[in-house]
Amino acid sequence: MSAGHAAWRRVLGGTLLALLVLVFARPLGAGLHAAVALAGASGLAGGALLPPRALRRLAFLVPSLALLVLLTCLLMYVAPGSPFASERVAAPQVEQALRAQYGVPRSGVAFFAVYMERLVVEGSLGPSLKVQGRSVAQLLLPALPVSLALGGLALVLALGVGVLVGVRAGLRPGSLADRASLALTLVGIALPSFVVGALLAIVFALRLGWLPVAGWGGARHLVLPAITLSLPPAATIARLARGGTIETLAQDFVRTARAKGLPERVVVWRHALRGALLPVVSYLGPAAAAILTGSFVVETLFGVPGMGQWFVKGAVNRDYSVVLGTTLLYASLVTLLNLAVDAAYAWLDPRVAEDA
Amino acid sequence: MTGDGALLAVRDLSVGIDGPGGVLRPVEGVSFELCAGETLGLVGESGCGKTVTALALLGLLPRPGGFFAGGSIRLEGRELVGAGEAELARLRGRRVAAVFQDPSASLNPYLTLGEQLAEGPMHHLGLSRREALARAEALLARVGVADAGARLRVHPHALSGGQRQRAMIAMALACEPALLVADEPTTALDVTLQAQILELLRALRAERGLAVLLVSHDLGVVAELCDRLLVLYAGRVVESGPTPEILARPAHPYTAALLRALPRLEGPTAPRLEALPGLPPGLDAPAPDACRFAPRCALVRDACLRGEPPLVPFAPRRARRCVAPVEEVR
Amino acid sequence: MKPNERPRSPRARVGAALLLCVIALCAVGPPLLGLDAETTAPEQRLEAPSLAHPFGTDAVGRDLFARVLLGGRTSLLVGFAATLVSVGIGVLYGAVAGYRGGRLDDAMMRVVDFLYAIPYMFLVILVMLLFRDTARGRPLPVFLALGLVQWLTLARIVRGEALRLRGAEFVQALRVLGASDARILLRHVLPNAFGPIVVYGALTVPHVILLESFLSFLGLGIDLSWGQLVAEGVAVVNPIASPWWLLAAPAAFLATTLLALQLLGDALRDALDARLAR
Repeated sequence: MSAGHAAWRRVLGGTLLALLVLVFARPLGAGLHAAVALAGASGLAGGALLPPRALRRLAFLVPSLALLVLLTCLLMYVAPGSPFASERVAAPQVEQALRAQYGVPRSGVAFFAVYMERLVVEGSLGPSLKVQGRSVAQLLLPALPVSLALGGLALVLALGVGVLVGVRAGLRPGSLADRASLALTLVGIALPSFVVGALLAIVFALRLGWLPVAGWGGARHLVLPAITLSLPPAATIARLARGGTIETLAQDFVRTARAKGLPERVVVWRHALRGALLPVVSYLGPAAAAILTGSFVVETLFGVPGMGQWFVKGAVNRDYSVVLGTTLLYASLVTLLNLAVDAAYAWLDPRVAEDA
Repeated sequence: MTGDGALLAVRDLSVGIDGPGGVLRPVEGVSFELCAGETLGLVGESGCGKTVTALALLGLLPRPGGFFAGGSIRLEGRELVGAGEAELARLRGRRVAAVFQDPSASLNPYLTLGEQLAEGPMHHLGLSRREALARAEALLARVGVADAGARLRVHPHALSGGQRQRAMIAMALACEPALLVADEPTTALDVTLQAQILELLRALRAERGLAVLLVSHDLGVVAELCDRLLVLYAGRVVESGPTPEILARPAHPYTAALLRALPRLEGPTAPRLEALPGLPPGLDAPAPDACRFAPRCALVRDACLRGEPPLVPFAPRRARRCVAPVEEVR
Repeated sequence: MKPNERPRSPRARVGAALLLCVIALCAVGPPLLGLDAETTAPEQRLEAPSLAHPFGTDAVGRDLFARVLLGGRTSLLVGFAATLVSVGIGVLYGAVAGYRGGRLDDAMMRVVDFLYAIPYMFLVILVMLLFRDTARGRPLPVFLALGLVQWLTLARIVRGEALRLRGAEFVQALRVLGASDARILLRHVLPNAFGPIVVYGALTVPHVILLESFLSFLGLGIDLSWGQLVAEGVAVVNPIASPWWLLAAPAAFLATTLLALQLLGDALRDALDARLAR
């Protein structure tokens, strides 16, 4: 019993450790692999590059991804239906054979074990249970850059517009820029992004014909979805940046900078901006989550062939491995971004880095 | 002492703040002069206008809504009231520098000491980064921060309170200003540190011929360092004169009350400390045509309520804004 | 003279007034006016707003005014019910963790950290997708799903408050006097955390309503909610001969409500901040 227990723990531990690297190393190519390796290396270097908060989160990363996979497995098994129940009213023997062939046991925990083993040993996300002869990696690989481009652009847009509008508003409360930030905030708060997106599509695609209504194919296809997706987080960022700017400008050290005779530009950019943007940096994690949520809606609205469609199809068709694959990718992306945010925060605020 | 010889000549300075509730007058008709190597103390309760006056010397007015409502500030012959922001910025940090009350809040937590000490000389004197850092290191060592070279690379939160205030002083002196405005420089520090910082200011003044405007609510601190005092009440100068004379024989009931509120270690008897009853009038209260101190004054008489007394000289180098006989004030 | 103080605006009053109007209209409007949201009338499909149908009719001739008011009931209910669920969980969890402290607190907060790392809406969508056939259109699963993912922040807030009060002298005194833990928590710790709880709750309501509209757009929301009506409206709008009222009417109601709730929440938060600063 105890020997079996220890072995099980060894397997699990090894599984979890290897999981992350393999997930990224195999299907996603060099970029993310390098990012993970870098994060891992600096973690091993003992916090020279990453602050303790980020290190702790890194230590969380692998187990929490595994936990998420387990949770998802259990959820899918609790939900009614199965990948093999629907169309072919198959004999029990046939279903048995299919389950064995695809590696889909009858219990959620067993499926978790099969899935993790395959992930670690083969570095594979497994075959799709519904799309004949395709692996999950083959399905998701073309969709990933689409979702990454859309989400990344939306995040950059939200950050750029939000910070610009918010800081300008905070520098001059009551000014035109302040009213613009208020308008942005109101739209972000009061209108679901799909309404804004639909209106944008009507005006810029259908009326003016400047941009394509939907679909995928080039930079032009990216514009409307990215703007739509960026609006809600941009509104929050503008609000945070405005508040941060007003608060920081009232600080004594800003008065000190002015008393030194530095030009206002230097006072704002060098002395005030860092403090003003700290709340924005802390919000980047939630912003990524918001963009992820919004991407389901926006991908649907604009017919963007991203990962969202596979997630939805996978869940509806009970294509377990497709669901797990998208879940893992999404969660890894958000977690890695959170990690980067922690590092950025410590870089911006030396007190965080040096205190802990 | 005439206006021409003085480093700083303030005439009839008034500052207004345009707020939602109307215009406030934190400073009204303040005049004084300051020569190189001299220290002037600005004394009064909080809200009396001493900090606003001090910051006005740097062309810094309360935000938002502060403005010069009249008068003149001439620093080394240059007029500051009405000067453009660019001209003011050229003087700030260069000819007139400031040290503030709370060094923990007044240093930028996000920049290293070196960055903060070097930026003034780089901006005003055109020094290279390396030169400015070398100067910063020398200055830090001069103000008594141990291991100055290493300190340049840390952020302010890694320093103690006393070290932070020393660093603030070094920063203020970085461009060799002629005038140092010290706004409650010791208030946030404990007593031993207070003495050290005052000693440092005294030494620097002697060594550099620095003129110092020391703002404090603490007569004890002012007595240590200042040649002359200016006592402010509700935005008005109520008494001025050489420090020892004022401390020995206050000529305005307000000054006398402040002195009675001061604990003394030496002296024949230690009388009960007296708190001054009442509060200073709010800035937004319309200026009554009466002595502003009258509501709290033990010596109040009819004349006090009929019109605000003028600031009149009554002895060599001394002036006061009071109609009660000098002998009655104690 | 703090520079970031804005002149007092009547935000709280405007927010409360708008919200009350919407709630009253949705609550008493349908029975009072005898509105019927379900009867289809093929001969009256896609009629523009008129006296008979102030907001026009939809693709199967149903009165949009009735549908918007009844949809409002659902959306407001989702907002408040899901918020209640999340406040309940968050307060209980946070109070226990903070008040007990020690290892239990560590473990419980570690769980919260874990859950924070998961993009929660993602789980909600997954759950709604997986249970789509059994749960589709029904309100309870949506309340639960949305409520179950919103409690993390509140748990942290309440835990902090409980942790602080646990060491307070009056709590020690109560314990000496023999008050039970449950009583101390309910009568003394929670009332002290009341302000943050209310503020957080007030800001959660619009958030949840917005999330429900996302679910509706994905076909996973509740039948006859604003989210669903707006999603239907989005599906039919186009620049040529568009039945714009299908989008405009529910979107206007949704936007007004979200704004009112946000104004109210912000005003509450500012009031709380001011109280704490004093």
